[in-house]
Amino acid sequence: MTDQHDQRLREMTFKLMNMAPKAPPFPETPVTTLKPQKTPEVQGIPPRTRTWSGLAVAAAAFGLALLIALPVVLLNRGDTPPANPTTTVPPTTTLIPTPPVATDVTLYFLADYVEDSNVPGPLLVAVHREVEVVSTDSPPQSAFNAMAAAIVELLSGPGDSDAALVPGISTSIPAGTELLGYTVDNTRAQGPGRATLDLSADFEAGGGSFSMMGRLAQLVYTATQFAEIDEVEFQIEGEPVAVFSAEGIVLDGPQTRDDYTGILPLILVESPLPGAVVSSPITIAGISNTFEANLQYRLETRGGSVIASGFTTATCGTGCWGDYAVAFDYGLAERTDGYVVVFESSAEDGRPVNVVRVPVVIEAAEGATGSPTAVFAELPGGAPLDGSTVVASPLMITGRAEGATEISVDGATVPVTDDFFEANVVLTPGRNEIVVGDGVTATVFEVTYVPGGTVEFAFLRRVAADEIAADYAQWLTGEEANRAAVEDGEIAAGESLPNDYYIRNQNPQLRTLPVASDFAVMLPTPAFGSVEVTAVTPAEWLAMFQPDGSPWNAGACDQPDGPVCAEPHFGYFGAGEVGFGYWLTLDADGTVLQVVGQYRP
Amino acid sequence: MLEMTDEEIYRKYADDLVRFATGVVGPFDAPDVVTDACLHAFGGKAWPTVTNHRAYLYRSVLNQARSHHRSTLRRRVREMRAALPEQTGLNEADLDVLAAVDKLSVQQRATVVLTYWEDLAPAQVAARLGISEGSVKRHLARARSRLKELLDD
Repeated sequence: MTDQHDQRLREMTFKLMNMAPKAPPFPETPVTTLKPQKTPEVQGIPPRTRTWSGLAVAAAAFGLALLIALPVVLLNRGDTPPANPTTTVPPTTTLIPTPPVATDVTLYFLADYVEDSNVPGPLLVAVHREVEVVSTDSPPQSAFNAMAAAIVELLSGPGDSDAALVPGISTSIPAGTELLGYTVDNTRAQGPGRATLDLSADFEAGGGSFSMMGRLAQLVYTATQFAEIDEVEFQIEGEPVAVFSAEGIVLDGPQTRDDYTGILPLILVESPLPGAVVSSPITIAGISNTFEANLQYRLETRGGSVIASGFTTATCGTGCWGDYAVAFDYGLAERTDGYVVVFESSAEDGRPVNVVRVPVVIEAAEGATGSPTAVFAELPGGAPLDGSTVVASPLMITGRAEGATEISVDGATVPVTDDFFEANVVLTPGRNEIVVGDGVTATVFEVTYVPGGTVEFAFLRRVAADEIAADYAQWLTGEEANRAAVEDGEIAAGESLPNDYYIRNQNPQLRTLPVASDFAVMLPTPAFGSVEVTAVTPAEWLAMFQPDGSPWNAGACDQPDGPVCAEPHFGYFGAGEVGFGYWLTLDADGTVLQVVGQYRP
Repeated sequence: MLEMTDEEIYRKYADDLVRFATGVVGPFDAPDVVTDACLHAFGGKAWPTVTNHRAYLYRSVLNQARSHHRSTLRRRVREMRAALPEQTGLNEADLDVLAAVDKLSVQQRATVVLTYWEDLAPAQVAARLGISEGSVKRHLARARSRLKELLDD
């Protein structure tokens, strides 16, 4: 390395650092802010249905420029051409034209579709629509584009396919109403995301307070389906609306979903939408205001045979509106047309009321009601039960089976209490199949039992396809962890560890362990707010240890000519060691059968 | 002692973090990387116990940068070259720098930034990144050799 290189590298670094942009605003929520496609003062140009694209903006602008230029040229035909070209094409905001992408959105119309409804009259109903949206690198910008496309579709009213799925579907929005413009305030960091919709004068046409409330509700619900938008302000022909229409509806401030609950059925289903093709597991979600927030659901064939059923609770009820979402598995031999039915049991006589019936196509699936929704065992590192190797028998299994009172685990009937069950399963050496089920449909877990085996927590200093050099350490939790940390001087007496774990590595002795040819690798994948453990192939895992310039383990790994060890980048701020620690499952001969990475918060 | 809110802490270090992130992922993605890193940091279980916020956030940004898709920088440079300088605000020399930076690994870029922008000695760089001094020197050597073309002309 020369001094000149050093100086050049310094200059280059300075150049790079000076390109740094301004810091973004303080991130309050996991949703970033929306930016209007044009400058904040200028309204967006409403998209053409199905043909909205960045090119259209440029084309429109260019067309406008031509329109100005053309008369001048025509006038001068036969004479000398005009001295200067009249206009230039304004630069587009996108550097590369992006073709529109088909996107699913929800539109809100009205229909009298709820059976035994406690609320009379046509009520809000959600239907599916596919629109074409310019997608961008920025998800908030894409949501902004999708909102505009959805509103334009809403204004064009329900179509024949909507009417076939929801008989009697209608809209309160007068035909011919146009979206003249829209903006979204870049205020999400400081408060709710607000969309301002500018509509043509037709929007106020007609009469009847229900019709007026209905059309406002349709727009508010359609716009607020996107997480980035919480409220809507209305303008008519560019003027903000304080009092809407001849009915004199006062709009005091931005409108939210809460302002229009009078148009809602007591159970609104927003997923699945009419006509959807559903498969197992299926999620039912929406808004409701039922007695004690209780909801019942059924998955039925067209003829009324029940495929699956259950119940769930919304976040609020008995006079207040809440959200609900429930996912469940079902079993079905052949694809069929059917319904997702959501209702509540009447507080008076228990009969179904506020029944919403959503026509769907139900895919074939394995599974049945009462099937366990989660089955796990306390395996080190959080390895999933299925496909794991264990060294102790009997194995304690716990699980969750919603809506069941008992369940069969490995042939024995086990009670289910508060949706939870546990059982001790005796394993035979080698491959075991643990079957958990309700007697009709079973979930099978494959567990390999290696008697005489051991499980060790270790740091890996070197990995290769046929052997691992491991430095055993201790993974402590709870009181034991606190005591050890105090002993080692990591925390003061009386303090406790922030994450309830402590790693003690007192013996740096390396052990070289042979690796089974088919050993399994599980690695934690930290998702925001939770950790999942997923299997990777040994080859993929070994590839993570190829040189990428980020060696994690200092010391033994850090030799110029030595073998490479670089661990995946999930770095943690623990004392001493960085990178994963691993749980190694060894057979009686000390061959590594399974490697599970330990997530360190 | 008065405790700072997350927002105050963020405001104090945000510009530095974005600049550091620029050195590690380039100017286009730096703000997103910082936002994501800070969200993870503020929301994490360890945050209330952290005393050295600056170091913690730096490491968060570095971790976040690692998971960032590296090919973005290459594509952006291509796009930028095809566009007009007035639109992008970057001249040819700047683009050459970005193209060169793209040749380095995240760890190498971080080492370069800490060495040349923050003027840290190898031992300090090693402490900041959680690696050995030997690694730091190796990274710098590799960075220089990969940038030989750019640095030579």
